[in-house]
Amino acid sequence: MKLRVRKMSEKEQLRQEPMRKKRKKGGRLFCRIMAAAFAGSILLLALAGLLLPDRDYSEEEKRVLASFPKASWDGIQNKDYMEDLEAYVSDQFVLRDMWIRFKVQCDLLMGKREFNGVYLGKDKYLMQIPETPAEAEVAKNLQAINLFAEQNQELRICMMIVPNAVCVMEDYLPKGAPVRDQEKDAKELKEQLAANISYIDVTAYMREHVQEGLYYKTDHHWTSKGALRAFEAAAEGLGIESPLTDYEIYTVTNDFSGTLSSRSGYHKVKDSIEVYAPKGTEVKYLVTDSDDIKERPTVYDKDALNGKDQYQVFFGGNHALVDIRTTNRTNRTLLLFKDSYANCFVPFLLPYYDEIVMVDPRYYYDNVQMLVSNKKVTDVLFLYNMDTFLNDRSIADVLAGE
Amino acid sequence: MIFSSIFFIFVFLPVVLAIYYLVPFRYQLKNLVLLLASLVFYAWGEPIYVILMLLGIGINYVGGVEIEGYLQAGRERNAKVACISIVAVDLAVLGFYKYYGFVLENINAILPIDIPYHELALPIGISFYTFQTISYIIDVYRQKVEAQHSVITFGAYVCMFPQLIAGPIVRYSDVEKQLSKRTLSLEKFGDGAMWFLRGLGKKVLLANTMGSVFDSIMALGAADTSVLTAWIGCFAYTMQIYFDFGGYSDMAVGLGKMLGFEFMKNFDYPYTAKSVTEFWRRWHISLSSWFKEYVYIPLGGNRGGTKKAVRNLLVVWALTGLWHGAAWNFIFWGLYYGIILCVEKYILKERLGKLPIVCQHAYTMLLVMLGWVLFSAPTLGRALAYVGTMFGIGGSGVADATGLYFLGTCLVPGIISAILCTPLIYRRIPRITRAREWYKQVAGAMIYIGIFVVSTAYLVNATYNPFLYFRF
Repeated sequence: MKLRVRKMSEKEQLRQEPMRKKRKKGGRLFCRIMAAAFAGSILLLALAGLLLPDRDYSEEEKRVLASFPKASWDGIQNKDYMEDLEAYVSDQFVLRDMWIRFKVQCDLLMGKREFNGVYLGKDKYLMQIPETPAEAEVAKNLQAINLFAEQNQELRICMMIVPNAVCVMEDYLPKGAPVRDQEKDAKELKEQLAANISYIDVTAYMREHVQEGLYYKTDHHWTSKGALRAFEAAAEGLGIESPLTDYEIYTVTNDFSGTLSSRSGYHKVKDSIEVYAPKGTEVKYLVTDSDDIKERPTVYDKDALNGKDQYQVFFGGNHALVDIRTTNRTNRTLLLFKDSYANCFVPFLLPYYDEIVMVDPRYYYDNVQMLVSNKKVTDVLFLYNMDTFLNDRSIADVLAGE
Repeated sequence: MIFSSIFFIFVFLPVVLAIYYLVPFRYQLKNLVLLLASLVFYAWGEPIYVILMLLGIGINYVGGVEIEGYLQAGRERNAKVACISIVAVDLAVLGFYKYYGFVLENINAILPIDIPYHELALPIGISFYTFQTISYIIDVYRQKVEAQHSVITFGAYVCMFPQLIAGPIVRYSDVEKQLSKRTLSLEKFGDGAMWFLRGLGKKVLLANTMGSVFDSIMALGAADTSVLTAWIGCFAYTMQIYFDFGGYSDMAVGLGKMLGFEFMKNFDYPYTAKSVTEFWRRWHISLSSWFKEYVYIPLGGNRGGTKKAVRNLLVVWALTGLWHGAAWNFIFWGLYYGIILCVEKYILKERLGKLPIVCQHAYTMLLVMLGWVLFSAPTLGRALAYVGTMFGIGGSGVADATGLYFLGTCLVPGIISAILCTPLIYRRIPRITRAREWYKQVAGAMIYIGIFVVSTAYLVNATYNPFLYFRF
């Protein structure tokens, strides 16, 4: 009983103490810790940044990091210098990769499923969100393609625009995540094409095989399996009768981390890259490209497997022009206008053409019509993924080139 | 330079604070460091317009001293002329850079002429510092404050970097004494660090998160926006603008404390208001009190009868709207509030207060959120269309998968934001940070360090870190 009374009075006393005095006394330690921790952590990180050597390249982000900028009067006036310096400090920030991973982890915890233009879908599938195209550019490209078709009536011209992962793998998207309707895009493209261009739509067939892993989890490209399924769907349209069905599959790497991992900062999964070699054909071929005129008997670039982007194992990446001459006698020469999706698709085409000429309009500046006549082209294929095609700014220029 | 950037926090701030604390404790020296740091800070983003700011400092400095001289000599008329002309110069500069393009665009649209012009880039923060210099000149003329005779101190006041680009609008009378006498202490620095980190977290973790949701929703076509999506978008923007602006103000308060200053608070839980009138007493307080003091009251306030008071209110609110940007939607946004405030003042009167509290909150938030639609939309037509979608006109039904997706992505940050709009948590923080037990205080500090760590992670990979006040 007595104890209780004493306790009460203590409480009373506390209450009677002037509020301000109590507060000031109480918060002092907190403020001191705050001051020390704030100043300390800033100084620590800033000094560590000064002392540690700069990195030139980020493996995780797959990009060259900013280096210390040179000051110039012009650079200061137009703010370039300030922006470069800020980029430098941010790029060379201590443990940059760790901070980015930590951020993605926090985002996941908060329920976020979109990272820098990339959705994280089911089964750890990263899927690039297609951009909104510039309608005028698309119209310009289509006009140029139609004109090209009109001037080359004797050629078999096909267009195959491959839907991206977000379209084929719709069910893998975060539930309800908004994306562009690429089926509608395909329908609209088809309607605008000249009569002698046949549009090859592989969407439905690919959807049937969606569980087979038709796209990389960490990269915006399709897998060789995806390309194979598309080839199966497209063979008839390309005029390829009784295509080969048996393939030897080689896994060339198991630790492929592609562009979408870098872009999103999500690194919890790796891909395998597979290479398909057809069985039952004796076809041999020689490859040259505009960056390397040395003839070689393979479409693969082994060195790329040790490089920054392992997808470049196909043809060593994109080139303005690639020329493949085969030992076939089919009297067919294919001219291919393409983006990087074609790089793992072309190996499936090798047994069916005498020569395949790949043109990447983003880097090619020569006359296309000359190419058609010089190479005695019989077939033309436009092979792109939908996102690249709708945002392309070079096809029209190349086709119109003098 | 913005506060929420790696460069500011890890390069600019430590360098400036180190110099600021190392120079001997004479306020002239500290003010000089502050002035130089602020000029570098400003020139960082506006390497050319910093000259404009220096001119502004010069004119207003000379003007203040001159007005005081006239007043002391008993030459009232000259003082009045000087005051009016300097305020006119300030407004002319502001008007030229901010409204020149807008005015010509409208003249060209109305009259059958076509005056060629090209839009000038708006000097960042010009609206904030011009309002500060105007308040100074008028207060000197009214003899509320003495003129500042040190150009360094005056310059430090005008371009003080904590409040330079996003407010608050610190009136000279509020910091007059602090400019020549202020204390620095470890505790005050720590308190400032707490405020800065609180603001940083609001901006980087809440405002940016909600802002990215809002931007994704705005990127959808009207046909793909359901009622649910539209409301989530509106809610997201409501949260973004508050935590962005409030976050900047908190960071300014924190930086001010680190430099020894005490700024007045700019936001006082605005979303807990029970009427729009109350909302504006709690939102961007330094701006609304500026307009009250230097426009509304000089116009006659509410003394000339209802008719005049209504006119004055509408003038003030049209100007408030215009202050936020040179575009019609801002003017309409201002007038929208002017009209609501008139209705509350002269028609609803006490009737609003008799409603159940829940209804008062709902009424206020509804009007405020609709106001933000008007504020954020690029054109009036888009704003009206969006409001239409919110009420089921022209959208894609009541709710769809997209709406549910956005509900999922912003559920956690949305709930956290909504809670942090109220004093619920803040009121409990002092119980930890100011507890008698040492471990509670340590735990309190840990919370803020945690916010710092997470915010840093978000800044290192800042793919989305907008600056909302480039039109102010």
